[in-house]
Amino acid sequence: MSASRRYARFWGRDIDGDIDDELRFHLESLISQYECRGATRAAAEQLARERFGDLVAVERALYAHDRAVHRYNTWRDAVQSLAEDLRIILRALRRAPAFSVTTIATLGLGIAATSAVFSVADTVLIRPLPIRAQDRVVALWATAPGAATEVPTILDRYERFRRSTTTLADVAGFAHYGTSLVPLQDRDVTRHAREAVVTGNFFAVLGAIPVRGRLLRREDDVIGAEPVIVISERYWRSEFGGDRTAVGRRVTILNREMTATIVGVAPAGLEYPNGADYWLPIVPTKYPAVDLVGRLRDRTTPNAARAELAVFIRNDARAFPTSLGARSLVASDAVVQPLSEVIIGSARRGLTVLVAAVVGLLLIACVNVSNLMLVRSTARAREMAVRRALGASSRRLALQLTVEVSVLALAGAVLGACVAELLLRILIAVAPAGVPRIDEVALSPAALAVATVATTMALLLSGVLPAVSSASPAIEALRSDSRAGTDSRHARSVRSALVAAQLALALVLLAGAGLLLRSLVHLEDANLGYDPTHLSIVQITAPFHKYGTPQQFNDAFDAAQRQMRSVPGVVAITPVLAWPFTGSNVFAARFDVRDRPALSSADAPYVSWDAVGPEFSKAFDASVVRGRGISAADRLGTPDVAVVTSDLANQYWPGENALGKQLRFAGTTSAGDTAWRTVVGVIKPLNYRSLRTPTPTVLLSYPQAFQQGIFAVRSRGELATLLPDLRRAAAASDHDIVLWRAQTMDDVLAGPLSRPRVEAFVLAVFAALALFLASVGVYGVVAFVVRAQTRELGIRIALGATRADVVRFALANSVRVALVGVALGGVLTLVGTGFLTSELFEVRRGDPAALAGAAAALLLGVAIGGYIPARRAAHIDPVRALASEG
Amino acid sequence: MPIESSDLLQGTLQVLILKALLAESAHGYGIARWIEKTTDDALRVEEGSLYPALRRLEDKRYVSSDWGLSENNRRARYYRLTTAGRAYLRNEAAAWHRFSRAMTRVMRAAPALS
Repeated sequence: MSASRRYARFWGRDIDGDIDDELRFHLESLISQYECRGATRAAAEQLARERFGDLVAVERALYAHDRAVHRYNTWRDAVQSLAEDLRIILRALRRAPAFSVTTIATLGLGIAATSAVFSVADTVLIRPLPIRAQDRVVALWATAPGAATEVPTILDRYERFRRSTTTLADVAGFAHYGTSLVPLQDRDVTRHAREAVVTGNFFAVLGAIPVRGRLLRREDDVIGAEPVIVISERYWRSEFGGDRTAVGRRVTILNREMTATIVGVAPAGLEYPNGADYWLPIVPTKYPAVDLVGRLRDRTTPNAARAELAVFIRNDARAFPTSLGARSLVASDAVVQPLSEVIIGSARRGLTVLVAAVVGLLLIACVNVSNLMLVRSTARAREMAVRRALGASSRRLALQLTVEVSVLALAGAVLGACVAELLLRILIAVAPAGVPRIDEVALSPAALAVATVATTMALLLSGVLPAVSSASPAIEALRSDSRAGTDSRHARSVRSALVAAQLALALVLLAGAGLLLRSLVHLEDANLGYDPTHLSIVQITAPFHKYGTPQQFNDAFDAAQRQMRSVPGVVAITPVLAWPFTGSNVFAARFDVRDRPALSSADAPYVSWDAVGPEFSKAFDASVVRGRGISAADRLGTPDVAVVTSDLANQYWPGENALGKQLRFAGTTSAGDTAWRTVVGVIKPLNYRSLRTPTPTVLLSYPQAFQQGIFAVRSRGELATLLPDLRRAAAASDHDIVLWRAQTMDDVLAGPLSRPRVEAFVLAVFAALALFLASVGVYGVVAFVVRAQTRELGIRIALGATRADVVRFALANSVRVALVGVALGGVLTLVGTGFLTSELFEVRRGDPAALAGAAAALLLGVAIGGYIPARRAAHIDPVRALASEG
Repeated sequence: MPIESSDLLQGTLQVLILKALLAESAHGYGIARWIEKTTDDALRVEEGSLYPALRRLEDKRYVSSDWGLSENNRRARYYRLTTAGRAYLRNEAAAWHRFSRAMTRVMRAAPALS
C-alpha cells in the first residue's frame, strides 16, 4: 500500500461527497440527454428521476456499504502496518542488542523491585485484619506518669472496668507479656508454640469468625470450665497440615500440666497478640495482669475511651488500694491506639523505608530508560527525517515509535513479573520475625500494573514525544553529514539533567544503605555490658504436682541447677526470670524507697527486676562497681538483699552512695513480697531486657524471691557440644525435669537484630541496583558522545592529541554532570534520610562516614561507567575515523 | 414491451454490467447507455440499481474503480473489469448460453404455441 494512500486513509476519505458526486453525475447526464431530445428542463428532470428509480434508497444503500468497507479497510491497514512495524522494530532491536537488553533489564528490575515491595506493603499495611469494623477496635493501656511506661491492668480491676465502661461496647484482656513459648504435646509429638492467654470474650470483642470449629467464649474463662484452646490458622496449617480432625483433638500444655481440647481455628491473618499460635482462656487466679483491647461504641472516639480509662484507673486505685498488686502497678493515665496501628506499628517504619527506597529505584529506572530512549531517538533523528521526507506522516512515525516502546515495555513487564515473584519469595524468606501476615503476601497484580504503567509512561514521554515534536530539526538532520545522528544542545542538556537526577537519587539510596549498615555495625557491636559469646539461655520445666510445697519445688530446681553446673565446660550458671530482650515492662515493678517518700509516690519510676544466683556476676561479666554481688549466703532466712545497676542507683540516689539503702516492692506482688531489702552492691549497667538501651534493674537473690526454670549458662565451648550433657544433668536428680528450650545468646540476638539486618540488606541491594543503573546511564551518555564525535576525536588525535587528552575530552561533560548529581543528591539525602531516623542506632542522619562512602561509591560507578567508552575513544584510529562517513 | 429491472434476476444484472465493461471501462451512466443501446431499450434497467450491483461486484473483486474525468470534463467514477471479473463473465456467459438454448428448445417443441 502506497504511502499516499495511507496518508489519505489517515485523514479519512470523503465517503458522502463521493457518493453524491457519482449519483449527481448520472442524473445530470440523463437530464441533459433528455434536454437534447427536446424536453423542457422540468420534464427532463422528471424523466431522469423515473429512469433512475428511487434515489434516496440507492443513496442510503451506498452510504451503508461504503462506510462498512471503509471501516474494514482502516482496520485491515492498521493490522497490516502494525505487523510491518513489528517486523521493522524487532529487526531494529536485534541490531541494537545493547540498547534492547539494557532497556528491558532496567524496566524488569524497576518493575520487579517495585511490585514485590508494594505487594508486601499492600498485605502487611493496607489489607484489613480479619475482624469486624477494625477501625472501632482499640488497644488500651494504663500508663505510669512521666515516663509513659505502659502498665498492665490487674485482672480484678479489668473486670471492674469492663462492668463500668460506657465508651466501649466490650473490652477484653490478654496476659500482659503477649505470648510465651511453651511445649505443646499433640499425641506423641511435642512442639513449641507461642501461647497467648486471653479473656473468654477476646474474639467476641475482635469480631472474628472461625475458620473451623468455634472461638473462645465468655464461659471458657471461668473457674472449673473445661480447658479449651483455639489455634491460629497458620499454626493449624504448618503444624497440623490443615487437618480437619485437629479440631476436637486433645493436646497437653506440658509446662502447665494441663490437657486442653482444640475447639477451633482462628481466621487467617489473626495472630494477635505477638504472633500467637494458640489462645488459652485466662484462669482468674493465676494471671493477675492483662493488657486491654476493646471495641468502641458507635459515635465514641478513642480519646473518650482514653479519658474514661484514665479517670477509672485513678478512682479505682483509691477505692481498692489493697487489691492484689494494686500498689505496685500504679498508673494514673492511659493511652489508646487503634488495634491495626498496634499490630502494624513497627513493621510500618521498616516498610516505609523499603517503599521509599523502591520508589527511588523506580524513578531511577524510569530516568534510565528515558535517557536510553532519548539517546536512541537522537541517534535515529536522521532515519526519522528521511522517512518523513519520503512521505511518512507524523502519526505514522509516532505510531511506530509507540509500538516499539510497547514491545520494550511488554518485554520489561514480563521479565519484571518473573523477577518480582522471585524477589518476593526472597523478601518473605528473609523477613524478620514479627512482620504481621507476611505468609499471606502474594504478588499484587495492581502493584505490577502500576509499576508497568509508570515505566511505560516514562518510555512514551522520552521515546515518542521528542521524535514527533521536532519538525524543523528533521530537515537539519538531513542536511547534516553525520549519519550517527545529531546532538542538539537542547537534547544534550536534557540528557545531562536526567543523568544528574539519576545520580542524585542513587546517592540517596547509597547514603541510606550506608547509614543502615553503619547503624547495624553499631548494633552488632553494641556493648551489652557482657560478652554474648558462649553465653546461653536454657529453660527447664517440671511437673508441679509432684512437689507439695514451694520449698520442695525450689529444691528440685536447685538440684537440677547443681547438676547442670557440674557439667564439664560450664563456667557459671544463674537463674534469671525472663528470656533476654523481652522488654523492660516484663517483671517490672515500682519500689518503695525507705526514707524517700517522694520516690514512693505514684510518680516513682517503674523499673525492671530480676532474681538471680551467686554466679550472676560471673555469667554476665557484671563487674561490681561497689559493694558485692548476690552471694550464696543470701538465702531464705538471711537478711533480704538487693543489687542494683549503677544507672538505677543514679536514678534513686543521685550523688549518694547506694550501699545500705533500702527498698521494697510497692504493694503486694503475687509472691506476697513486702520485705525491705538492703542494697549490698552496685553493678555496671546491662542490656538484658532490651537490646538498644541498658535497663535499670533491681537484682534480688532468687532464694529470697523465686525462680522459674530459666538459667543463663556461661560455658567454655559451644552450647551444642554441651547440650546433651546439660539435658542429662537436668534430669539426673528428677527424671521428670525436662530441659526443653536452649538458645545461645548469639541466636537470641538474631531476633532483635533480624530487622536491622534485613533492612540494611535489602536497602544495600537496592542501592547497588541504583548504582548499577546510574553507571549504565553515565555509560550511555558518554558512549553516545564518543560515537557522535568520532570524527572530531579522530581529527584531534590526528593533530596530536594524546590519549589522556581524548579521555578528558570525552569525560568532560560527564564529570560536570556527576558533580551536579552529587551536590543535588547531597541535598536530597539530607531530606530523604529523615525516613530513617527511627531506624538508626548510634548513627546520626548526617553521618559523615556513611555520606562520604556513598559519594565515593557513586563517583566510582560514574568513573567506571564513563571510562569504558572514553577508553574506546582514546583508541580511535584517526585514519579510519576520518575516512568513515561519520 | 420493455422488461423492468425489478424483473431481472440479481445475477442477470451483474452479468449485464460485466458485459458492458468488457470492451472498455465506463462510469455508471455509460453502462446504462450501453445496455440501452445494445438491447434497443428492451431490457430497461432502473438505473439507480446499477450502483448497489456495482458495489457488490467491487466487493467480489470482479470490477475495480477509480476517479477520472468524463467526456464533458466532470469528475466521474470509472469502473473497470478485472481479470477475475473476465473469468467470471466467461463462466456466466457459457451457463447463460446453455440455459437459453435449452429454453429455446423447450419453446420450439411441438405443439407450437400459436
